[in-house]
Amino acid sequence: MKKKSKAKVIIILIVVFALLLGITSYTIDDDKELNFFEKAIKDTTTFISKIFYTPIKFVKDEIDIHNEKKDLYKKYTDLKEKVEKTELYYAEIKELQKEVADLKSTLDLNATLSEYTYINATVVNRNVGYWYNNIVIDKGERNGVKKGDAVITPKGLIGRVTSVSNFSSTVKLLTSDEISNKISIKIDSNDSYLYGLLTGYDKELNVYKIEGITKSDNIKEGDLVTTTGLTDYFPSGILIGQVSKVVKDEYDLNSIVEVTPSADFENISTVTILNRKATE
Amino acid sequence: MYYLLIVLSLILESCISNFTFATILVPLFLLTSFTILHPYYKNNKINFILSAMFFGLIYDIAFTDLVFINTICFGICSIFVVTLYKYIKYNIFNANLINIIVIIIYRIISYIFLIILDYVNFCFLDLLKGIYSSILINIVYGTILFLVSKCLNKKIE
Repeated sequence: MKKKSKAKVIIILIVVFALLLGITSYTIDDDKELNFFEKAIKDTTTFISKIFYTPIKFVKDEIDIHNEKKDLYKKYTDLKEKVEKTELYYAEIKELQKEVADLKSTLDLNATLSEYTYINATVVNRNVGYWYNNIVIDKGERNGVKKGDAVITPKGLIGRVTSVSNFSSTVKLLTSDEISNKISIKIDSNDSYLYGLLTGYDKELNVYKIEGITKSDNIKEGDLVTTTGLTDYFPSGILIGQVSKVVKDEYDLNSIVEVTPSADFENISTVTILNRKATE
Repeated sequence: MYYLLIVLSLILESCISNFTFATILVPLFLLTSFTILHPYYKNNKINFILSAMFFGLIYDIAFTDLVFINTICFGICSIFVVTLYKYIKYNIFNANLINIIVIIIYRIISYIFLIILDYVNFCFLDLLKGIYSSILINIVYGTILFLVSKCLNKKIE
């Protein structure tokens, strides 16, 4: 009798787990919006985590500042040199901005892909659970964050917003295995652009894989890789990384370009969300 | 009181994940807290399994965005914890041993589920890395939690 009831419990458990797994496959869908309860739980945990993390972050930042103070003079001279050059760049940008504005008015363009607003956010937690490759940030729908917005650090693109709650959002990193992560990119090679597709990330080598490039002969190490702005998610011209190597695929037919990410995925504490302005 | 320790473990796991070392020493404090605090459920197995599944659901919603993956994994792991404690006596050494076994089971189950759902590509080395990088820090946390819970238990009694 006892054995029978035990078997019943096991069967019920298996059925329940199978059902739950079925529901999970539905939740994987990128277009799924968070419901009221999900938003409430996500916002609450993010808020509590932020309260606990703030003093820890303060100590962490102080340690970082202390470490930064080493080689201060060398950093100062490097920066001084850069600041001197900035004046030149500033004048050039002013001129270019004027040119772009003139051209836009000539073409009667109201909004372009390069028009977006910046929202700064703090990372509350990252990659909890190891496999998921996502981070949770402390800005959400109420702060203007929208699903699909590109997320960058000062060094370059790191991912895009996949789910938005009222006061927090989840960002899927480019290092994720997900196939839906394909991004249209361009390689700046000898003052001409070569277009391709970022198809994945190699964890062992710490490089992105870029495929679909027809003429790879001109590509050399150190060429900059940026977004094209041809997809819905990422605006044009965001730095992704630098070419490290060009290899052939297993059939020796197509070239695969390996790109070293410009962003440091090991150390992400603050990010910027590129919130694209609505096209009028 | 023990629920508070579980909630604290969940928050601590979230905070620790921000540190650079968390990519090498991966915290699984919520799971560890269930393994270590199991005896304080006073043989209420159903309550233990249900609370593990509930916290697994919160974990899913708050961190992974894949609802029910950790609900199932935590549920299965809690069944293993209940079964293992039937045969093994509760002390600091055995609690950590069970903790290691449960971490390995959790990693394998969650990885299988993610492969079934086409969320990750199968790589044995990746799975192995996921397992061994989770063990050390969670043993340390498990030991601390064991001592803290024992002290609390003495005070309550």
